[in-house]
Amino acid sequence: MEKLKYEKPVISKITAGVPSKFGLPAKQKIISEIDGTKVSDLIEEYGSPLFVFSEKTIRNTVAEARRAFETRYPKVQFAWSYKTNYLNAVVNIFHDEGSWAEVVSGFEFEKALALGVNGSHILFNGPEKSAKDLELAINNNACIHIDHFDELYLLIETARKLNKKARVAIRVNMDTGIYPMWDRFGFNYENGEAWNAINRIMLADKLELIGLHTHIGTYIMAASAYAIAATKLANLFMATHRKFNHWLKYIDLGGGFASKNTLKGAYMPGAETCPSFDEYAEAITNALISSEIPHENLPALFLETGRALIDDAGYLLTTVLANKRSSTGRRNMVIDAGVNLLFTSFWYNLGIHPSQPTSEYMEETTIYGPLCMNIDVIRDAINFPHVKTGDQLVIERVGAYNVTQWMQFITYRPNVIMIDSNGKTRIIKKKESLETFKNSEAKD
Amino acid sequence: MTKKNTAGNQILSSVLNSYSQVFFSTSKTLAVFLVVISFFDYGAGVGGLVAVLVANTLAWGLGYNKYYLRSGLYGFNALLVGLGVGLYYQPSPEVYVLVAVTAILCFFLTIVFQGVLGKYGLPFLSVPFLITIWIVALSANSLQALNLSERGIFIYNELYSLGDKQFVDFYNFLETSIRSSFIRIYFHSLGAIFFQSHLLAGIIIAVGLLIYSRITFTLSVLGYGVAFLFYQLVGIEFDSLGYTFIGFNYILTAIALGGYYLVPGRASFGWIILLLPAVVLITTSAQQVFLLFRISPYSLPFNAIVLTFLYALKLREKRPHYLIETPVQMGKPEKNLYLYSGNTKRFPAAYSVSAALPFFGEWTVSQAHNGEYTHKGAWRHAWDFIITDRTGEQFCNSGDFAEDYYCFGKAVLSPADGTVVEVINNIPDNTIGDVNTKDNWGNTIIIKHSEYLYSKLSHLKFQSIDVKTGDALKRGQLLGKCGNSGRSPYPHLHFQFQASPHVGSATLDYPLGHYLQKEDNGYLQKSFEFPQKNQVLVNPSKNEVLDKALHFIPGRRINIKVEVDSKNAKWKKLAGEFTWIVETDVYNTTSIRCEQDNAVAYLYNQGDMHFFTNFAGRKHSPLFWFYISLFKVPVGFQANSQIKDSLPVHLLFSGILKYLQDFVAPLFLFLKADYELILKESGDIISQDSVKMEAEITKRIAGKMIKKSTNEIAINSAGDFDISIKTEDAKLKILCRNELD
Repeated sequence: MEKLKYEKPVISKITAGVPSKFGLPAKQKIISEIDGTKVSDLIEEYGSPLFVFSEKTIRNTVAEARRAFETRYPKVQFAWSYKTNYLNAVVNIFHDEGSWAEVVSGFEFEKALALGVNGSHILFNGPEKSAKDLELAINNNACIHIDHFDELYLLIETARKLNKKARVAIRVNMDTGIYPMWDRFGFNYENGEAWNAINRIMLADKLELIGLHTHIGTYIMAASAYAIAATKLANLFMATHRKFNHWLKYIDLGGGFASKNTLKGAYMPGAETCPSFDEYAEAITNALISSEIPHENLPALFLETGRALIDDAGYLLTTVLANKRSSTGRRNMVIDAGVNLLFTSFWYNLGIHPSQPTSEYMEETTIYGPLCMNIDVIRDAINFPHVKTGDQLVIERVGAYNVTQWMQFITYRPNVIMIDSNGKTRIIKKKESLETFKNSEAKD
Repeated sequence: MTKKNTAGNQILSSVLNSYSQVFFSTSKTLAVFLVVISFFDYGAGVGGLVAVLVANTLAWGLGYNKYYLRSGLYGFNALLVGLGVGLYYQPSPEVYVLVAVTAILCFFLTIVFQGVLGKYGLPFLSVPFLITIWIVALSANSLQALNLSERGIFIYNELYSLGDKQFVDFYNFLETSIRSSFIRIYFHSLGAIFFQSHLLAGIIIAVGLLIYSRITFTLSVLGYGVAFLFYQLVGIEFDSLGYTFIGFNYILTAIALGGYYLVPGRASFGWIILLLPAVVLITTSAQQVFLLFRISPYSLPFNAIVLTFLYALKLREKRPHYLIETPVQMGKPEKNLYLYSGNTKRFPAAYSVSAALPFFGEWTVSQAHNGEYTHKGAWRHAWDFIITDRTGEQFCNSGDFAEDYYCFGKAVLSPADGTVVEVINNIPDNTIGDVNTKDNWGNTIIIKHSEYLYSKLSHLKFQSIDVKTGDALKRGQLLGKCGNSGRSPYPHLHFQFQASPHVGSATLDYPLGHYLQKEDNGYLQKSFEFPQKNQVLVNPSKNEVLDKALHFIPGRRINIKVEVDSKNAKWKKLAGEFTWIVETDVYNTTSIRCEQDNAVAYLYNQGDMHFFTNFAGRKHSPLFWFYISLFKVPVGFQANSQIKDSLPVHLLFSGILKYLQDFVAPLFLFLKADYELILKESGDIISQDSVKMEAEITKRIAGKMIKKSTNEIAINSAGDFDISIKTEDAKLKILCRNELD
């Protein structure tokens, strides 16, 4: 028999057998391997901390999302939201699965072009588009989603200067019953600003209005909000047809589908409360199909889903640095991954799991990152089993936003690896070193 | 071309065709052979010609159909009568008056029988001739002023008058070298069709037939051979054939049924073998009857059996798979066969309704026609559809609830335009594994598409149906949701065609219209086919560029510029500028005609597929390359998809190989011209500005590739075509620009 692991003694209330209002005590989930590769082997080879992406999970998730929409609607096109995760290796999988690119800056636009995306398959969103960016977009025949009137004027000017036609859509904001209502981006539906913008664009000779775009918010947990958004856009679509005898080509419902992460303050885990792709798809497509739009003229449906497609595919492997007690006796644990790598830890109660079996005894714990900075808290309260220094943990559902919003702060950013569909691993972004900084800094 | 010349041409072709029409042909070569042998007997030759001219003049003067006139259909019965009368009497002015009178009589009988038999879709064959010649023969003895001809008795005298001693010697040589009575009577029988009694006429006709059509020649030998064997079998004296001039009945029956009115094939050849003994019996019995009147039955057995058989075939209720009545009469068995090419699928006219898949996205066939579970007996022609994921699973989670199944609750659409005739909407969905055999079909919609075509969609979700009885539907319109009601252990969509509007009606063996079948990389375009189990299917979506470019509206004019890069003079001649015009005739057949070389390409487009159905005229024409490059193009063509077809052999092959193929064509084709169209670029989901396709034409002998040409086709949003063709010794560029008004 294997020698039992030593665990520090701990006193805890007996809850066995008697369900409280939270049900039976949860059984600790162990993640010892990812796509068949052992966590310990990955850390041994690539170091700790370590971001791991699963190609298999990405592809399966895309397939699930596409199936949900394509079996409910005749023309569906996903566009990959670059800001969610623009690691080349990740982006390429989405493009390989048929996604277009959704970018929100000149940088992202250039990145998409550099990855070989056809310019006409780039949706250019965002409130910040310089004259130079717009020129790039017009020259590449991109779909430019106009955010405000000043951008519209600049675009008209730029298109005239280039003497080229620009393909445009407008971003519309609206009340879909979601709080907070996002009205800082785009033209408002209810007060007629959007209709005004459509009229101006239709009359501008260098602009071709091809679509309508909205993005009602983020982490939307009510699919019905999308139905309202789709209905309102369908109204604009028909109004445009009636006035100008012009069929728009697409309606873009943006992103905002919730992933399975649990928001801070949520009563129930996200995996159980967030709508599935099917629920979002059902709401959106029903709204469009039952709108006034004749079925022969249904526009293409564009979706810029980011988070819900990638969150599950990303893991952060980390190692326990220390266990200690606070002044009140509360258990504290320090791990080698901090908020500089995990931007989403500000929003979510991230799922953190041991990679080796532990005892069933758990204690309320605060998990800190390694930064010498007070804000570096990964979980302020989590029921966690006792693990020792050097034990490896897996933080799940970290695929979205972290590897774009992370920062180089205090320490280097770690390796990012991909486990491909055949179970082979490779580095897709190398760990930083002093060299990384030498090149871009002045030498004085 | 001047107008006078055209008129002259028309007269010439109406006369010549009257001769070749005796063998159901409009071949000028054959006609020349036949005219020549008709003049072997000068009296008969003149009689025939007079009769043809009289009949055709009448048809022209009285204003009958010019097309029939030009094809010789009004003249050939009169011709036969003229030949018969001319041969029977010594040439004299009175005889030709009689010929003219009988020709008039025969002409009107032709019109009458064309009208009466035409109502039943039947040809009038030589019925007018029969009646006229019997009238003449029965009154022959009373016509005192006319002298009976003595020709036919002294053959050598006649031959000598035609071509002195050498000719006689040559004939003698033939007579002595052809000993076999089988062959001798064959030639005699052939000659007898033109009332010629000697071998030479038969030989010339045989050569003419061989040059005109290998299948016709083969059939003439087959028909005659079978009759010959049957005579031997039942012990009728065969030599009598030689004297009574009725052996041709067997030959004509074989030609008519084996390859002309029916598409030649194993079945038509087989039926010739079965039918000819019947012709023999009719012949021998008719001879006994007609002997009483001292006249010959002539072609009565042929007319009787052909009309009976054709009429009987027309009354078939099931869509025939063999013994197909020639859909477009090309006037030559080879052309009929190659055009038909054993492929009914090319002719969408047979399927008036093109049904789309009744759902969005990719679905999998879980049970096809003659399925292993429930698609049996009268309900065997049905499909069950489900949705599967990448691992082939049709549900997520445990699959214990209907909601776990991917297809459950998904939209069900109208497969084609129609009217709702039945809606059942109130049967609850089953729990998984349970079946409701009481309401077998569950929630169901039946749609009427045409008088005898209904589609039925069953097992829909409880109270999900949005349409009601009497609603007019457009293809693709939302009907309801896929469910699990009725005899459905797990959610799926049952889809079938039927001929009547009732729930529980027997299914109809009717194919789906145009759909895409998922392959490892891309899609295979299918047309009017029957999806099989486990195939993953999806509807194509309309490509706007193709939709516009392939919409050939009558009056559309296309300016063509051909650039040639070749050392070969043959190719160089093609260079230049041409004009094509789109036309529609009274039968609603659309065609593209080249103003310069008069080549015509016929086409057909139901809105979702463009077909070139036929080509007529010079093959060395830019229009011919256009025809083969765009032989079949789906309007809803998806990137990375391909479509396959076979080009008609007679248009792609020539020379000795094609001659050899002609002989065996009804049994098998060893020559093949494969057509494969691949879509390279088609724009994207919102912007379709241009389409790039590649047509590969592969010629094969017994499966082995001998020649391949790759034609690149580029189409822009204005509907202009650029076609680049690479052959072994030439590069052609055909630029087609729509003429703007």
